[in-house]
Amino acid sequence: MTAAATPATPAAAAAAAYPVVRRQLDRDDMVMRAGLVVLIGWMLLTLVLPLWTLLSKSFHNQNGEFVGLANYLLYFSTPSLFDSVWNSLYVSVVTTVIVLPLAFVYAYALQRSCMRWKGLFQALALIPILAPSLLPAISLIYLFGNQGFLKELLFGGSIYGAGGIIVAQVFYCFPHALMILVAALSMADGRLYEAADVLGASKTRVFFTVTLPGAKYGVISAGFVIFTLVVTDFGIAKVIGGRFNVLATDIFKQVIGQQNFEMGAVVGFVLLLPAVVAFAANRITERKQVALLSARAVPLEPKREPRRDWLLFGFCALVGGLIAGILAMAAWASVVTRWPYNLALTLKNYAFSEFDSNGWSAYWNSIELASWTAVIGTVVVFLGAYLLEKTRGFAWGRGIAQFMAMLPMAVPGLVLGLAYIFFFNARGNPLGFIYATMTILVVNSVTHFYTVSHLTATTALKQLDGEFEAVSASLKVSLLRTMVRVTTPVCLPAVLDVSIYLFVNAMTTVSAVIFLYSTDTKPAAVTIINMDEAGFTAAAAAMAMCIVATSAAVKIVHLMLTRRFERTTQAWRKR
Amino acid sequence: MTAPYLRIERLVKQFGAFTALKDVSLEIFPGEFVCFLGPSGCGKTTLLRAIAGLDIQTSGRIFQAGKEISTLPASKRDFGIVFQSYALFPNLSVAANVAYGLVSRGVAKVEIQTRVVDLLQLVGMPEAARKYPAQLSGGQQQRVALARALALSPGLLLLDEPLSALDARVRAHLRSEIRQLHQRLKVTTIMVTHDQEEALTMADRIVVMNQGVIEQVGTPSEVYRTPSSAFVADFVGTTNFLPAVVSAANQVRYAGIDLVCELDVRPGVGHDITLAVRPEDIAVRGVAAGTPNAFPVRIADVEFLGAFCRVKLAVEGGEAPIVADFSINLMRDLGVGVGKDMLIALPPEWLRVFPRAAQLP
Repeated sequence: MTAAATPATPAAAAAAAYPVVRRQLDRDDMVMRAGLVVLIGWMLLTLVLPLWTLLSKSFHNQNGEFVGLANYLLYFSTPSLFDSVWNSLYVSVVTTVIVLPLAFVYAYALQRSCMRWKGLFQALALIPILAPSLLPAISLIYLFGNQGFLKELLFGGSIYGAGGIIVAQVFYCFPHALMILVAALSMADGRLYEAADVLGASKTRVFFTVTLPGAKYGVISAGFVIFTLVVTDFGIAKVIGGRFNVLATDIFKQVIGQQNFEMGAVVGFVLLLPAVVAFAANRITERKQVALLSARAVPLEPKREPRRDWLLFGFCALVGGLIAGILAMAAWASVVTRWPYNLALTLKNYAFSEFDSNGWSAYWNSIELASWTAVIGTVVVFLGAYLLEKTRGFAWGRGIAQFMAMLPMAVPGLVLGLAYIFFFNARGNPLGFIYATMTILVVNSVTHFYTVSHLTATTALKQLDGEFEAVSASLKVSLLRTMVRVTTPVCLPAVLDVSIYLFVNAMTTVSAVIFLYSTDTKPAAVTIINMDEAGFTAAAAAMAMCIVATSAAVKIVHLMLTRRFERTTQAWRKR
Repeated sequence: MTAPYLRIERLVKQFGAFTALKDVSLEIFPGEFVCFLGPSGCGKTTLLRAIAGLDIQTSGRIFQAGKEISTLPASKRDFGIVFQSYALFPNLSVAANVAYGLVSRGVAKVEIQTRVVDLLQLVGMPEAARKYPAQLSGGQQQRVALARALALSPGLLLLDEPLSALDARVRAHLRSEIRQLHQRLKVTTIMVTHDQEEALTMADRIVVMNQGVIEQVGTPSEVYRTPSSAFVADFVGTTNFLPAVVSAANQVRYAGIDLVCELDVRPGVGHDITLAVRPEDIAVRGVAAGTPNAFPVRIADVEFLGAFCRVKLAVEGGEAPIVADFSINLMRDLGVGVGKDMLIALPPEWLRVFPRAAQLP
């Protein structure tokens, strides 16, 4: 700091006789700095450099000659391309506005009420996260499509287009928002509520002065996450969008359809704009966030209140019922012989080798991909979030890392995938050997799902007392040990959430991997698209069901683990 | 005189353009209990965190036990710390919290156990070993935090507003216990507080701070009896500030009355000064027309405070009434009541003179 060289006051000037001191670094500082350098290096390799390669591609023509903004000018002067911008914004905003209140009330019911069957409702609401985004789209086609049995409800309207996209997106985004809001509502200081109660504040007032401010950060994050998910999702628009073009499908058309990589790069960078806004807004709210759960806070335990509990029960039953309905439709479709003519039940749609050359091996590829993503991703994300939240000094390094941790949320899977092609397939890249292997799929998935995981971990870390590290230092205990003994156990629920989030997303993602798989590593979700395109919609539904079942099984194990942890290691939460 | 245990030399701390500590120097002696007292934002916590190495100073030097520690990280310094928020590890039992530093030292298990039992005994919590922090009251949690801070037998104990989050009764109780604990262990202790009562009752010496500078360092009675500035006189205890003018050598004029006082301050005749006198120092008994500094007042208001009364005395020609504390005894003997005229005196030895600030505190 140069502040002492240009003193702000006469007193400081007098003291300038003494030189500015710099704190010596101890082992913790070294470990922390080394960790941050590794983190930055990882993010440069897996995110920034690929994106940079992509950016430079958008300024070149197909022969590799630099053409400046020519590609961009062409893009903005072609209405068929440019209209997609408005289409994307429209479906994203509408979906966000619908999902946010639904998810908040649902999360509130799960965390702050004593309604029945909370476990069931939680599981039910998380089902969409277990499914590829293609599943609700396929279900809606069976329900309201040209041969759908509820088609009459649309009064001649068509499910193909904006309406279908929005309905499917609501289904798909709901659990993503719910996860963040549940986390935001899970930690609260019970004494605040007791205080408000004693002060005679009405229920509504308590809600608006205690509950909502406490969860504000979560609500805002959830809003950005939904918005960005919709803007960047590819599967739903591909299956049910019809002639309603959005940015994500445009990229696919440019790259796969017309082999116009340069224009694909341009569309990708247009897609980054809304995400940059989301990033900036998120940073501003983050700055206002303070630790809500100090070490002396008393965890809140909801009290019984029949009228409220039953109202919330009714709400959850309705939302949960709709989710179950959409899922059941896909399940039914997967075992029907020939919709809608022959409704006899059959398992022949599950004989995937009849419909796709990879058959069941695609399914096992997905399992492998998801497992590695969960393990590697959780370690990287939690360590990264810890380094950024709980250590001091090295400000510029942390600033860079923080920025890069938020960036993936802004990068659609398709764009990242495309960037990986350009970067890892480039001649002379020493890392080129991972191209077309499982490794590149894992690295891509970890990077693609980094931000939400990072936010989940950060939210949990923020809620810890800020003086734990100071106390450790005074007790001569290394940061690493405090991280292992205190920080991680206290954040264990969040750590588990992150790992499951990564597993399930890697299992269900289409957009992140569609440009990167090879014939040996083709994941299950991609075969859904392939089979749907080839007209084997029932087989596509069947594969979607396999993914859902797998993710659900993993999720159940997760729930059981969480419950056990709650009983053993989390006993301290009870008063 | 013994060598200081902690020596702070010309400490400056800047946060951007804001200077939180302006050239602070201080010496603390072995076994002392020192309180940093001041309003919020005065720099007392900043100074404590600099001593701990948690937020290092911008410039200046710190010596502890004869060694320079100016640039050492917190983990290399010798101190135990207790925070206002307790900062107990919520997932660890009380025993594990207390043993936290011992375990990484590689102390033998049996030894740790004995030490934890001893420490919990020391802070009066022998039953709590197996409980978790959330199961304890605030006062109990702070005792555990204290035991944890003492576990490694640090040479310096730092207390950052340890009692501020507690209710009054617990606070008063814990106050005397910490004091007793200190007398038993004789560990050099620094406590940050904004509560003057806490500082007066607990400290061997008080460091009064304001706006990043040390206003006064002294024993509680020195700080109270002979405040070195109007700020200290006002912040510690209650004081009447009377605007006056120097009228002669060792004489000032207040509200048309000439008062004798020790003018150890420099201003010459005609200068504006502020006269300070504590409410309990105002004399009534035995005051007659010839008593030095005697003048007539009328009782404007009486506030009953149990053991004594706070009485407002209107002075003819004075802007604000003078506040005096009269014992119940005195009230009874003199038949003090609102509207009564009486003679009071401001004993010269209890008058303090300060330069007139732009605005009285």
